Amino acid sequence: MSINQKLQEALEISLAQQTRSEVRLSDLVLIAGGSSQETWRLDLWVAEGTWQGNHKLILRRPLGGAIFQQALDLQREFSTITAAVAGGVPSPKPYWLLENLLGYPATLVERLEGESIGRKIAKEPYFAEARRQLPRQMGEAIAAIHQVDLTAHRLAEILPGLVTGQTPAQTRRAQIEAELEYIGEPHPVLELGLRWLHQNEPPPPDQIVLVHGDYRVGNVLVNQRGLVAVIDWEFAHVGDYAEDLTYPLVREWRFGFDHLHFGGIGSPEAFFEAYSQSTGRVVDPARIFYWELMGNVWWAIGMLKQVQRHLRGEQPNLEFASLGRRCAEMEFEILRLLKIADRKESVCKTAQPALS
Amino acid sequence: MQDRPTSPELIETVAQFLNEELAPALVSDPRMRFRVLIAGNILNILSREIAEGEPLMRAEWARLTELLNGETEPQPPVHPAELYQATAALTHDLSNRIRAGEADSGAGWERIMAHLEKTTREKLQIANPRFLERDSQLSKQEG
Repeated sequence: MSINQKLQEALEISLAQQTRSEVRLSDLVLIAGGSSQETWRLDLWVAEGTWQGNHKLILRRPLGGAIFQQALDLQREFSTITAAVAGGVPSPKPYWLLENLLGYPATLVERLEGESIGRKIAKEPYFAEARRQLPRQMGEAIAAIHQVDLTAHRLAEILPGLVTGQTPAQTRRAQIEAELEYIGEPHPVLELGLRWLHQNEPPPPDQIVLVHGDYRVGNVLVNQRGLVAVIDWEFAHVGDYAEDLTYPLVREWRFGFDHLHFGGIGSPEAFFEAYSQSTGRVVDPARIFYWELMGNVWWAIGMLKQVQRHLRGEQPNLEFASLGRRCAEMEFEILRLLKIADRKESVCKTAQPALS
Repeated sequence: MQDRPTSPELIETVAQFLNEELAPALVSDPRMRFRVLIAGNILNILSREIAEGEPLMRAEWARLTELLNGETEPQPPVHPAELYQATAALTHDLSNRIRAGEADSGAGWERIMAHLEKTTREKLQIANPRFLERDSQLSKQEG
């Protein structure tokens, strides 16, 4: 029996129990998904009861192995999405968490129509209006995420990100250092970036918030009018708001449209402005610069981690292998940002005598 | 001596097949098409590396010995695998020195920064020359 048939049968049994009804399942198809989970699409018909009717769903199952050690398991991801949706965040509605489906947990969430492939959203004429709307819409959506109640679904307890006695920036830097140690290759540019991040640490943020952790064009569903939903929650954690405000600016997530600082589609101003209006939080440029550099270092590490999954045989994969030669793009951007920081610093130093 | 096509010519031929024949035939399977284009791109990287890689690594080795030891040693290793090992060891040393604070400010910063910029550009010259072209256009626009 094929995996499709096995999965279909197991799902039908499991969903009949969940819905206490006869169910019919159709069009179960494996689709493109994250790199640490399997993602399937399916249609469900429920004969009677609370769930009576037709449902378009997404099924996710773990593949084993994750890009970062901090990746959430499906259970915690499901709790996060549930809390976010309850807090008014546009995100696919969660349906069920199945504890055991063919030996693995699985989640079912609403399937919404939209495009998530970043380079298409940044490039295709079809998304021109969406590109105009997205900076503002993504600013509002991340504002909603940062206002999610951390006591809901015990998020403050179950999510990673905080270590006693450390600021979020210190915690993230320690994670990067540990990952680099694991990777075991010399990357002097990343060392230089880490050194700067060490010496220019911002004070703790005014508040610890729910951080999406992978917030960018490519992890939002988009239609012709713009944002449909925020997806890909597996790196959610608690921490500094500036992390999510800068990740869409990271060079990689401009999809080759480098001059468009926000996601290859626009300028960050509209994004920051919408965020400030919704949260009342003043966006601090120094904190933004710091976390933008951090984001570029973080994704450089992300690439190198994927390469290791390939090289160590954990998940042999052509695309993972190819990322090894793309890390230099991130390094180039890190050096560019470090030079900007250096210029700013020398301007401050020469300006000081005049001020005193 | 092997007959032609030479190894760079063979790589070029397969890259062309993947990018120009196979990929366009896969319109109905965008995921596979994407992977074929990645494979084609990897072959293009390889062919640039065969053509330009070794002299670049030799120059990098010389820069590193000068930067770290203050002098250029008379000769880099001749065998490519040894040259690779030696350059990797020097890069490892540079990483440790950055961690120890040697690039924090002043002349150390300037010299290490200059080396890293050059090295990163050379990596991109092999891995993605279009990225460098795009960037130089961007720098021009920004003045």
